Amino acid sequence: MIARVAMMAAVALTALLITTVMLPAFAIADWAPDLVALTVIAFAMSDGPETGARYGFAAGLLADLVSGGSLLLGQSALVLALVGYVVGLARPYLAGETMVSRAAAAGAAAAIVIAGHGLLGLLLEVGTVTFADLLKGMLIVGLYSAAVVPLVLRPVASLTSRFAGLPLPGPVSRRV
Amino acid sequence: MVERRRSRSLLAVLVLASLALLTLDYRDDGDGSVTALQRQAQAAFAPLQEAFAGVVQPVGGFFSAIGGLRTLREENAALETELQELRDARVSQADIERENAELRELLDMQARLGVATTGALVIAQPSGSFNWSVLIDAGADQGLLPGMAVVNGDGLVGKLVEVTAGNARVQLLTSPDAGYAVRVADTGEQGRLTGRGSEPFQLEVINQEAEVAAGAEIVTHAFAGTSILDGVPIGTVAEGTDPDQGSRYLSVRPYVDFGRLGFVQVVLDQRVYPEDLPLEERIPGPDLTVPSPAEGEEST
Repeated sequence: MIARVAMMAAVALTALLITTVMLPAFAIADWAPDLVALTVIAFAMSDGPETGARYGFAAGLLADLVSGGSLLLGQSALVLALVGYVVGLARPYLAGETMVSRAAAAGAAAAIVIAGHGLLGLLLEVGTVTFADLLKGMLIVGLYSAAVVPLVLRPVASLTSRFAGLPLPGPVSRRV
Repeated sequence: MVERRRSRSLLAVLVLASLALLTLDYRDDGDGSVTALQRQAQAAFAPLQEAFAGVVQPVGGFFSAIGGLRTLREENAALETELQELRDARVSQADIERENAELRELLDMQARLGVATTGALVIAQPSGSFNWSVLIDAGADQGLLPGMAVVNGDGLVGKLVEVTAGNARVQLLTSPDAGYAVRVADTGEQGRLTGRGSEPFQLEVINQEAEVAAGAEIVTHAFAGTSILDGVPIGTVAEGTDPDQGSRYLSVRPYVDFGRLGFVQVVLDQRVYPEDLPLEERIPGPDLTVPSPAEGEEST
């Protein structure tokens, strides 16, 4: 359990570092994929709604915390927890699908993350956004994310299955 | 069924926790515990970002350069045309000397008005989709304070909004939350510039009758309460006002490429213009009250 949580924390931290430092250089029309959101989608697809929501909340909270005040605390946590849960619910329907279909679904989910951020921003009057910008962002990030998400889905699926069978530490594992 | 109910309960708890945190932060006045926590977290995370940037930015820079090849080719073609025009426009020695003298005067003026700056490297952009800000590797230890202007070789980049000991966050000019007092460089028409994310800036011209030509340069205008330098280039007007119909709102194309920010300069000692004249420094005007006839008779 501890190893699994540590693995997820390491994935979230790495994704946040890549998103904030590296991906801005690969932006198309100022829009780049959010790797933190993509790992949430990937965990939800491989492990279901509970993991998706838990990991989404924790990773979102981390992103909000280190934003230095540019995001409200809880803003990404809310959006990513909801998206993680919904994508997790769709897992049984996506399980037998091809990578292209899963990537398309992930792209759509990434676009919904953008929409969620934009609508929350409008609601809370933080980072005001125009409707045109919102649509443009959803389109670019959705397509861009669909193109790069296979690079995230496979490693996350492999990590999930590798860490899923670990025995629990402490007395419970000894009894088993 | 039980599993589904459990996952729904979990989601409800997480949503409620998020909403509670959002409410706390929303009610925070900017100096509260939530903002302080975020500042501390950013200060702790920034060294990691800086170290990571040192490793990966050369790679990012390489791909970024590939992405910018088309722009570079266009710029190259434009510069070649400009060079040819300059070669064609043979100016006389006297003209060059006069121009030289004028430029020296301008340099002297710049030295008199000169401001101290400190260099910084853009190390990260916050995650999240509508964050028109960047993190730089200089902070309060280098003398940085919130509100200071940030420029690069092309013009105004933005201003500092959050400063920690070793890092600072720059609110970019593209931010829809950013508004700047500006003027048209050649006519002096004043206006207000607002960021529109990845779209060109929006310029609201104050004088509705004013005609602004396409291509006119827009520069900053020092205004009451602002800490932004006067006359810093911002961009050019994309489409001018229609002389018949006119329009207060114009699009402005920025000089700065906000997608590829590298090194920037933070202006350290710009003056902050006062909102009003200090009361103790005001000099009273002449007394213009006319003495009443009765007073006049008494005095005579």
